[in-house]
Amino acid sequence: MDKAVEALGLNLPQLIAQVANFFLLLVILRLVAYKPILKMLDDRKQKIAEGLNAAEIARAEAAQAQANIASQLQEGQRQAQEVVAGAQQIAARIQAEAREQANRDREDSLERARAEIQLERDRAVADLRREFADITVSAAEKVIGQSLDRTAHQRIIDEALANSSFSGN
Amino acid sequence: MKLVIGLAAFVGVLVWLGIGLFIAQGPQPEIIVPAEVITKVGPLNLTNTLITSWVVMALMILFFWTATRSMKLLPTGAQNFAEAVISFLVGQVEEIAGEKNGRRFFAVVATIFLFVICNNWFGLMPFFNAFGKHEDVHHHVFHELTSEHPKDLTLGEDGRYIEGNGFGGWIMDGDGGLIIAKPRTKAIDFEVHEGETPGEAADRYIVFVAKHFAGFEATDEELEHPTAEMVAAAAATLDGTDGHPHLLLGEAHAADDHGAAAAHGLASPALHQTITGIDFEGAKKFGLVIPLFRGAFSDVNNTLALGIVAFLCIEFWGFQALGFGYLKKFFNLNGVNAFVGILELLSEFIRIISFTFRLFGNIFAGEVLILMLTFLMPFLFVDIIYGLELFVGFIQAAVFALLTLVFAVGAVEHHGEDEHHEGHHGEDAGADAHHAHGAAAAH
Repeated sequence: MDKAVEALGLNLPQLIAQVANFFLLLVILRLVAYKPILKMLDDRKQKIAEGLNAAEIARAEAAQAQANIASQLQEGQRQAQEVVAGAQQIAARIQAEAREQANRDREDSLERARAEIQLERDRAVADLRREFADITVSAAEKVIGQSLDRTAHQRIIDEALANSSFSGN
Repeated sequence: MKLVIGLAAFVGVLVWLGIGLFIAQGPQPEIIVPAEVITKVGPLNLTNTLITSWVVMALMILFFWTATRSMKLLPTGAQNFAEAVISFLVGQVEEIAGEKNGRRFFAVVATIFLFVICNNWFGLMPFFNAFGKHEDVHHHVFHELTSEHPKDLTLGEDGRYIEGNGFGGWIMDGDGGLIIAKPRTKAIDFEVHEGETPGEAADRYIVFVAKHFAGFEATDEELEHPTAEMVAAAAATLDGTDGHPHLLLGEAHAADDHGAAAAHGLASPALHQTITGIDFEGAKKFGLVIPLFRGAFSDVNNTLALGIVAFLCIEFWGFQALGFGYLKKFFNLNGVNAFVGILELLSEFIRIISFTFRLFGNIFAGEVLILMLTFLMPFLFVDIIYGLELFVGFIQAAVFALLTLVFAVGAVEHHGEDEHHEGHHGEDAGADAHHAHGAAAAH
């Protein structure tokens, strides 16, 4: 046993030194390596989890916003179409009214013109009759040389007129 | 065409190996199992393995300190690497031991792994085993032979050695200080036999020195049993010719008191003279390079220390987790389990030995293999072995750390449940009572 120990170079002080070395290394590495690095790894893990979570939320929010915008756009379009349609309707109505008004105005003026012409003719016919009667009477006075009283006179004229083919109509 | 290329490659490899042999052949290895002592500090032998492990520790601490000095959430450079290593280790440990136990065992297991792998890999650096302190082997041999209380030899009452020893060294240049082993240095070995007197050994030593350092012709057989004339002839060659060692002789002495050292020197029975020394001035030296650095775990002290650390940590965790119930695993009065307990206890201690020699054997063998191959085939083959040693270095570190972890997990495991289960099947009511008691103690 002694020989084996000697051949292997075993000695107690070095053994103790090496055990002490190990524990020294353990303590220092714990201080400068394991503690800070494990803490950093855990921190990062947490941060990444939080980040992923936040990203997920942001994505959902963005999708929501996009949907909102799309629906608003659609609404706007619909409203615009409505406005345009309304305007078109109004324009059509105004056009129709204008056309109607114009028609009516034309009819009216035609009617008026017709009435005026009728009136004008009636008056001309009446004038003509009176003139003719006067002429006839004076002519007849001259012819018969006597004057007839007015009443008998008129009756004769009317009879003559009724027999004549000259008429206003 | 193919044949030509193959032939050219073959010749190329041969030439390459030849060049290696010519310019880079290592010295003939002198395999020394115990770590070489560089200097002594009080009771502590400052061995090259201890120095190496301090250097490695310092480098490890320096690296991790730089890497973690200013930690950033987005890691760069050294921090990145350090984090990768630690997170790999923590992942492995937690996978085996679970999260809670894993974090508890982590520091020790990781330190074992990192310490072992850094030492193993650092030990493959080219300056290992090559660069070091010159040791004068001749001086040591001469001192041992003249001393009445030699260190490496054991002198009996009758003036004969009870125990011999071999003294190995190189034929080399060098005069102390730090040197690098030269290529193709030849190793020689002087053996002091059991049962011979210091004088006889001295005679053989004269022939040995004359043969290796002054070109004296002697066969191995003659070297072992030289005649008086041969010793005289050998002594005559050691006459201080340029390049030869010079034999320093004292006064002639009477034949009847041979064997006793007269004045300070060595009485030679063949020469009837006292040899006061051999002066190697101007000649090659019988010396050795004591490497300043040597793989820390090629020293059994260090592997044993690590084994003991692992053992202490495992037992500590066992007690911490189970209190005195932990001892129940080893000491109980439950029929065959009592015997199993003793075996368990024994195996706890045997683990230290297996830890120690597994690591020591692998690393020491690796170093010897590399030294041997740098001597036999300096180029190419050594590279392959270096690759292999990188792998072995990693595997041994992983094995040591993982075994520690697995044993630790075994130690903190609750055994109460197991025994309850057995209790149901057992017929021994007393054993049942004992279990109940044991379980209560465990809780």
